[in-house]
Amino acid sequence: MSRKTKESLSYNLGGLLKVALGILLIFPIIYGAGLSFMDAAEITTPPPKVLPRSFGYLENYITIFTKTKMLRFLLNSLLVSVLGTMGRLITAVTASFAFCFYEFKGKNFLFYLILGSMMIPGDAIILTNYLTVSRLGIMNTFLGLVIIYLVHANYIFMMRQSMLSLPKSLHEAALMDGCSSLRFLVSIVIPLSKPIITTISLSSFVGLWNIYLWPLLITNAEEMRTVQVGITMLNTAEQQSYGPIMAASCVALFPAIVIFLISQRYIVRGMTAGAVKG
Amino acid sequence: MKKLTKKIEPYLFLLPALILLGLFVYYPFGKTVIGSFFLIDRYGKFSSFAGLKNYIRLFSDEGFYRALFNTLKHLVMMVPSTIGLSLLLALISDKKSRFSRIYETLFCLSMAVSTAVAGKIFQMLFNPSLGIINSVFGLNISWLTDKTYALPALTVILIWTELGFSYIYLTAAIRNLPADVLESADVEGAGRLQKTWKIILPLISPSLFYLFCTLSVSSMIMVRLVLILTQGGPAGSTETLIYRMYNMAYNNSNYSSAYALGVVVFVMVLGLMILNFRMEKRSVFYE
Repeated sequence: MSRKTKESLSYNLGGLLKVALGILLIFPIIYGAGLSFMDAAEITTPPPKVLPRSFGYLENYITIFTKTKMLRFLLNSLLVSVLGTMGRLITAVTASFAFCFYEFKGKNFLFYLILGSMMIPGDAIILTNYLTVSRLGIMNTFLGLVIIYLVHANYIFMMRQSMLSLPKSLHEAALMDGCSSLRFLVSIVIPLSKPIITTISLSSFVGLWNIYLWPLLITNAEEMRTVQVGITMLNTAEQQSYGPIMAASCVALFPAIVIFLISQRYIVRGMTAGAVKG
Repeated sequence: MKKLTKKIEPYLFLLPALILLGLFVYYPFGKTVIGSFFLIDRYGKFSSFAGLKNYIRLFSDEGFYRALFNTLKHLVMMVPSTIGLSLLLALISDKKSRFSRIYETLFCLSMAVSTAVAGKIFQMLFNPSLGIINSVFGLNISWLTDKTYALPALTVILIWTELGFSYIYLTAAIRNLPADVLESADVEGAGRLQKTWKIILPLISPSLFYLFCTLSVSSMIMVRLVLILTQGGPAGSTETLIYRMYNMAYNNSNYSSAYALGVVVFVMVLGLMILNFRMEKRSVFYE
């Protein structure tokens, strides 16, 4: 065997081994998906199996869509993710616009005030927010569900980093031509910021799709539950409901995985933006 | 008139972000801190000044120390294993190749899995009679209902969900290293292990410290999986600080103690960040 074929053999072998390791790492996902296609007897008869006899057994999926409010939960999650993401984009775009195209008193202070909010862990102040929202009388509403998610300091930071690369003279020129700042923002700055808007939208959507604690606190009406809260409450209904619970988990997981797969590049870019020093 | 609008315009653009942050981050933060010095009735209204009484009661409560111990135990298990495993995966990931796209995606896919879904799937994996873990390893452990194993089991689930992000982060840090430094190491004939230990690790130490910090903070405020899977049990073995805080507020309407506990958590999170920042300054290599 020549040296070259030996090298390529070890290269391919190494690659295949790493892929195998990767499959091992996502084993819980495969396992959950497998269970969702098994009937109760198949799940409970030892020894435990990973893959179902056939993927044709859809009873679990039919159960969750006909006997629970799964469809409603999915719709709620979709709405929360979309509304929250839109809010985050608006606050990020407007705040960054002020930081990038204006000089004003207290600019640095306000910037650090916004960044400083990242030091306060959200789960630790959720109690007080719960009291605030219940006093505002918006429990069990979409507004209540999204209101604490309409701004995200990290997204403001990312948006500002990206907007800083736009020439300031653009703004002055536009003002000279009698274009208002708002119009300049909407028709020039936003189109030029499309890449970062995409990054933020995708990672925010997956993040909001997966939130658990806040919707758990803020909704007690079943029809307002999000899909993440919904799947953790299914088991109270029936004893032998492992299959339907796994089916529901897969349904909740599916959109997040699909978006993650098609946008891995963007999400990764967003998550590591500005933070990777080394 | 035009001058005036130009002057207040930036503030108008900042207003939405500032109002929301004020109302849902800084106001609750301030209220928690101030509330920790007051007696609060069961509707959440401040009644009278209490000085340090809430803190004294908190610190003389055995349950607090148990929750603190559980939280720190989780942190000590969680942070090194997550960083170690993700570093290992990042180091074996080469530059772009035919396979790398596939295994990179597989390595970080757990990132898309929510705590609720991961909790539900692992609940099955850990199931004593139906689960695959006991059956594969020939064990007979009631993972989530045994005092000894419940907390480590929760930690394992969280390591799995956090691994993806740490991996991606470290891979990006390694790929961003200046190529000439790595090449000069190759020229000098440094072995792979030596190159990793002496060159790559010191160079990516800022990223390692960043992960150390974010993972420590998220471990410190760990609560979701406890709510989903164990509700603090069995026998309080999975009761974390924030879970205890929730329990005080929701189930017992004891806001005074809950706020004091919240402040203790804030202080610890802040302490971690300052410590991390100082360590970073002292021992981290910058170009």
